[in-house]
Amino acid sequence: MRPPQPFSPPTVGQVLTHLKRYPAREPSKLTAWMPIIAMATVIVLTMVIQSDWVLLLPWLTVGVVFVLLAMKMRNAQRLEQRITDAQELAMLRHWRQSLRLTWRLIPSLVTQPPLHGRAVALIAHCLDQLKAYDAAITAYNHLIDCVSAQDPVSIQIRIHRTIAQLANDQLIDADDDLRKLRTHTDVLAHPVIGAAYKLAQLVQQVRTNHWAEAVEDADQRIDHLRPLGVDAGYGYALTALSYYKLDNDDTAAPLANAGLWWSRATLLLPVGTLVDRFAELDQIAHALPAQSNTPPRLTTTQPQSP
Amino acid sequence: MTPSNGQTRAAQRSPTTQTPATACPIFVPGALQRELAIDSAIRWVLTTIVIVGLIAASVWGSEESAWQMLLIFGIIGVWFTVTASATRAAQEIPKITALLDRNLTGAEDLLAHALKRRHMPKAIRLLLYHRLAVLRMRQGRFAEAAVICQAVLAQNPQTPTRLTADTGSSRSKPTHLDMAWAPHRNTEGLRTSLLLMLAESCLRCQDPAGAYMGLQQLHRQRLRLLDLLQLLMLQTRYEIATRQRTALHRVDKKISMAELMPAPQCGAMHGLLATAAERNDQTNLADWLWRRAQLLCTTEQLDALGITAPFLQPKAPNSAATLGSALR
Repeated sequence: MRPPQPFSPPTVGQVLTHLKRYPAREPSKLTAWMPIIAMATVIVLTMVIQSDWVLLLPWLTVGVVFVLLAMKMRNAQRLEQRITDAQELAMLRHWRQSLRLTWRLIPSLVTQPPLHGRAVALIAHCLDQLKAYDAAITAYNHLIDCVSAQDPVSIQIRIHRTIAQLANDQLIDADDDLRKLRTHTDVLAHPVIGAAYKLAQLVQQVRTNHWAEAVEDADQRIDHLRPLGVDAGYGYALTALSYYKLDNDDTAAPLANAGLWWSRATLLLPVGTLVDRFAELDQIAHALPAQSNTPPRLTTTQPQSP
Repeated sequence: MTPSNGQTRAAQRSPTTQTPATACPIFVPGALQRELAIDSAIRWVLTTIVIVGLIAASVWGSEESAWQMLLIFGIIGVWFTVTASATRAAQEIPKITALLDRNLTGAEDLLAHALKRRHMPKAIRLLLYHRLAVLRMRQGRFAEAAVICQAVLAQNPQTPTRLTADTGSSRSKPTHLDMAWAPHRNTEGLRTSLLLMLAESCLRCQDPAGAYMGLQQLHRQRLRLLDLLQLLMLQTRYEIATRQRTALHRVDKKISMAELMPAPQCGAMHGLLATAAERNDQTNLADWLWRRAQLLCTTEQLDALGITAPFLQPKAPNSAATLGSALR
């Protein structure tokens, strides 16, 4: 028996080939008209052929059409459940399993564009989390091409792509994207989308060493990033790093602020997770004290479940 | 159940200010039963007419061919009229669902028209009432939402006794309602949605007994992750409201699950657990949970979720601004 192969996420070429081989397409109009064509043919046959057994044909056709429609509907429900399974795996941060399941589902989703779109978005997200940024950007590009530019979903995907580009050192592309995104003020008013945009801006400022700019609106940072939930911790950690880098200032304020923001970040996310996502945080991980992001132990005997 | 508490708060918090052109009447428990009985009666009458008509057509067939044709066309016409009405009602369901997210007035208007239709399949009528319950929840009319949920759930007499996969047992045979709902949506999903709404509306109406019934039935359902998260939230609220010590049981697992929720719910969950920790003299844990809660949600968000008063009031600052300054 061969030892199991170590996991490696798909490459750009593999993602491109997979998405080109199984693109989403609208269900054919011929298929949609098929039950009516079949019925019409059968009715004509019953009028032309004078035989008793032909009278059974319309009923048989109706039966077959009903069975086929029921099977089609059941198949669609099954596929939707499978996609939901994959999304749940991603929510639980089982990126590899989610990616594997979605990758295998893509061929069966070609005739269902909405499900296909969800699957590609999931693949892109998993690749992003697995740090396969090039492949993730390819999948994001594919999605952006399929969705209208004004659609809030498209803007959300573009923000995610920008963050992936920044992680991949594609600073010019990211800058270009951020500038274009700025014009969609109505969509950015949505709390979660707006927060993701603010995080992307912050990542850009940190990646381009604009430390002072990164702490400019720090007093509103909690309000801006709060809709991201515990992921806001990444933003707080980057704010801490920015203050830390400003520490060559004469005052002691930046270091104190760095400590405060780092404690907020580590209250929400473990240090390992923060450093894993943004390697530059490693320098403050050793320099600043972290909060525990696991709950303190109960001091008395725990209550028993009923 | 008295609608006073929930409805008073509802009126203050209702996202719609306009009055719909046609409002749905206040739901009374017997209404659904009566409408279903009328639907059933119409269906039987129509079926009888069709059968009698076909027999009459075959009897008169040889001599009165004009009468025969007229009769057959009449039957087809009546059948199409009735089915078209039901189809239109079914087609309105996705529109109502979309409107529930952005225009409650429009959704109520459309629902009122759809519910007025005579004769529609039971599954469609129950789906429309499910949407009415969602509408009432969004309007903050929790007492009415609870009554609707109970009425729709009562139409499914057999509570499915399915067990989760890890027990290795299979689910029970689907009920007739399961079969009726199946073409429109996953039945378990719809039942789960009704039970979750029932539990939440009962909690908001300060009716822990009603909430308990909902929660108990939810534990027998096979739930998806998102439903599980909602159940966790509701159960924690129930445990806090009824001052049970179990709220802190496996608190680390609960916090991990809460982290999968959207930020306001995640913060609310932390607030609830912090309250439980305070009550149980777990000051370190309470402090840790409060600090996290303050980073995850504002007091306004907690209020919108209906869990500010009375148990979160003493600790939470009054506004987002003061909350922010408390952090700095």
